[in-house]
Amino acid sequence: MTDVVSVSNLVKRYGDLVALDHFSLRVAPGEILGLLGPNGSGKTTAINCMLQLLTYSQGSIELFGQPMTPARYDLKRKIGVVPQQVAVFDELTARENIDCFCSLYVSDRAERRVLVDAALDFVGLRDFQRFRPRKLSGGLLRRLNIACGIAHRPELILFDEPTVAVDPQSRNAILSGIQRLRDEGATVVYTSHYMEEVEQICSRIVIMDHGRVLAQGTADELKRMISTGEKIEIEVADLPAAALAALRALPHVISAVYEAGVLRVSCEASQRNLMDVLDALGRADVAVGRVWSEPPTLNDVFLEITGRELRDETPEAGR
Amino acid sequence: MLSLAGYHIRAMLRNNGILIWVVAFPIILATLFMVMFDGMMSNQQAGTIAVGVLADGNYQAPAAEPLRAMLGALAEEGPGEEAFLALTSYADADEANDALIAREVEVLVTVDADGAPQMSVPPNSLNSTHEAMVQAVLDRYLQSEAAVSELARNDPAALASPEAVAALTADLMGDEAQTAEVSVLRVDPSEMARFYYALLGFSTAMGANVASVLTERLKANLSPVGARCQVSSMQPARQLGAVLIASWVIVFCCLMAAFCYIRFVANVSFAGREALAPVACAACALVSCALGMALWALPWLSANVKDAVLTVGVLVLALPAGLYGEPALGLSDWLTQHMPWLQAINPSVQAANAFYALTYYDSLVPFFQTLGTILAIAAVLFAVAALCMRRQRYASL
Repeated sequence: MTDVVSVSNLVKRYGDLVALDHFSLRVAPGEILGLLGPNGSGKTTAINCMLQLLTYSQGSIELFGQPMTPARYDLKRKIGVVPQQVAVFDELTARENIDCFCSLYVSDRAERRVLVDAALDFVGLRDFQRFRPRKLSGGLLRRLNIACGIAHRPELILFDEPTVAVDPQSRNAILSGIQRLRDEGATVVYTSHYMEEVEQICSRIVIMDHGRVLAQGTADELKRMISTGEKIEIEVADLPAAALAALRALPHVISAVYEAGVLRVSCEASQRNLMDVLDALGRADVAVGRVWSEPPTLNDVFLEITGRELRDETPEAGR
Repeated sequence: MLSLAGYHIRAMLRNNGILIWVVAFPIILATLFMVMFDGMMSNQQAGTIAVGVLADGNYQAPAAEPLRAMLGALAEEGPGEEAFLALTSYADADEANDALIAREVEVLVTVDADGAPQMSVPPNSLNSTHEAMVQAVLDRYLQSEAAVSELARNDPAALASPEAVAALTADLMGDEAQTAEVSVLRVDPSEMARFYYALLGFSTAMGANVASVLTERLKANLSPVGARCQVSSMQPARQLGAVLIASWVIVFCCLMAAFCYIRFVANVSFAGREALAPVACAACALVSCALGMALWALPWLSANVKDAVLTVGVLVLALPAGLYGEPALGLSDWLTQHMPWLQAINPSVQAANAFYALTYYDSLVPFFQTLGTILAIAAVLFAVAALCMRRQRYASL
């Protein structure tokens, strides 16, 4: 089946800064692809290049199997965009905004009325349809932003960090809405630097930094790519040095650190990590308090690949 | 495209900033002009002048007979005209002075022992037009008297027959002007009206704000909404068309509102050609939209810089239209004489000229020629806007 998005070797420079460095991406029909990376990694630039808003010096972009150019209005008809920055008319009501942006794709007024009603229901703004944007809360405004991008029933929807500065309730509503869009047949590209969101809704994840794709696959595939398999934290009142050394000598333990009454052990993937660690502490007569164990996160993946946290804040170049 | 245009119109009608600049501001300026000019006009208006006369012995003497006759003639109403003077006679000098101080009369005329008229004005007089006019009348009387005395001394025969005296008297005292007034315009030109025409020219340039705000919403490099519009499946030309329709409708309505206010509230004459004013407003609205669209479609400047350029530009364009008073009118006339091409490419000037030509010229040819110039400017600006709008990708956003 033809990929909905096919980007090959895209190079985009802002002066001396390379924003996209031979960036390649493929998105299959019906999937939610997560584009994960810290601020400034090139996610928005990649989206804007795909939409032909930005020039690029090298590479090719195909959408729905067709080369994408600024004048491919037939392809643009199939695309919906939810930009990071809320982009609505302040003077129009919620309903008027959705209808106005829908009119850029659908000329028939009756058809549009049905689509606008559906979009209002989809984002849960029916009760606020007569409100102007300044009367809406941040979460509702984000929902309006989404409704304006999806009302014309696009086949490919590009979400550029749609949950920035959104309360948890609205965030959940947005995420479940995106999954429903996928269920209704849309293909979704979702950019974010919130790994939990990406892990929650994306069928495939592309991790990028400095304009390059660092790794891609499902969340489980990505986690298997790294050596860290499990992180264990144990409250320990007193830990003798011998006990700490014994822990570090265990076969699957990568590191063990004792700080402020908390023992942190990082292990390779294994079925018995927790049992082995607790056994070692028991043999050393160490009294154990509360115990936490968690599998690796995407942040661990990013940390191991790049050596820095996913949420390191750097200014997004070229916005 | 029409739906989009409808939403643009709706958005602009709810945009207080636009309404203030494009609708309220010209009307506020027109109101200020009214207040300002009303003071100036009342100071200059002729009207009937209240003149007090001290009817003492000197005034009643035979030597003052010609003066009495002249004042009496000026106090009579003509056919369809009000009297030039309203005379009030006072038998007592104190009574006359009291009336003058109380400003019951504007000037007081007395006659001295030689029969020569004297004029008194109230204390703290502002040297009003009325005082100057009465002074001119009395001056003319004295000059005529001097001329008659001179004639009697040098050519007594000329005054020998009663017919000759009567003819000379009629000639000297008559109100027939010695120079003929010929008008090449349909109506008498009004200095004040030019300011209002210049105001319409200023409103035309100010209207560019509407198109500029709407064009900003089409360009990805100028606004987030612009990016959203630009990635849509509607072609830029059609989006530009929607902006043109919306901004034209709004600016046209604003110009018509300004025109109606100037015509019916400020009472500025358009010499019976009001029916053609919508045509002028339509053309002016078109060039206004083209100006805003062309400036905002330019790819080089940021939105803030463009905003500043437009604000300054509107003020500069209105200068040679004569909006800012007598010196500006003088500059306008000088430019028209010495640099007509500069005036020809200025939309504000051409808009003001259109209303001027509509009002004053017998023929409508100058009016339509001016509209032709306006449409030519609009066409050039539209071409610039369309060319710039073809660019859809940017090096950065």
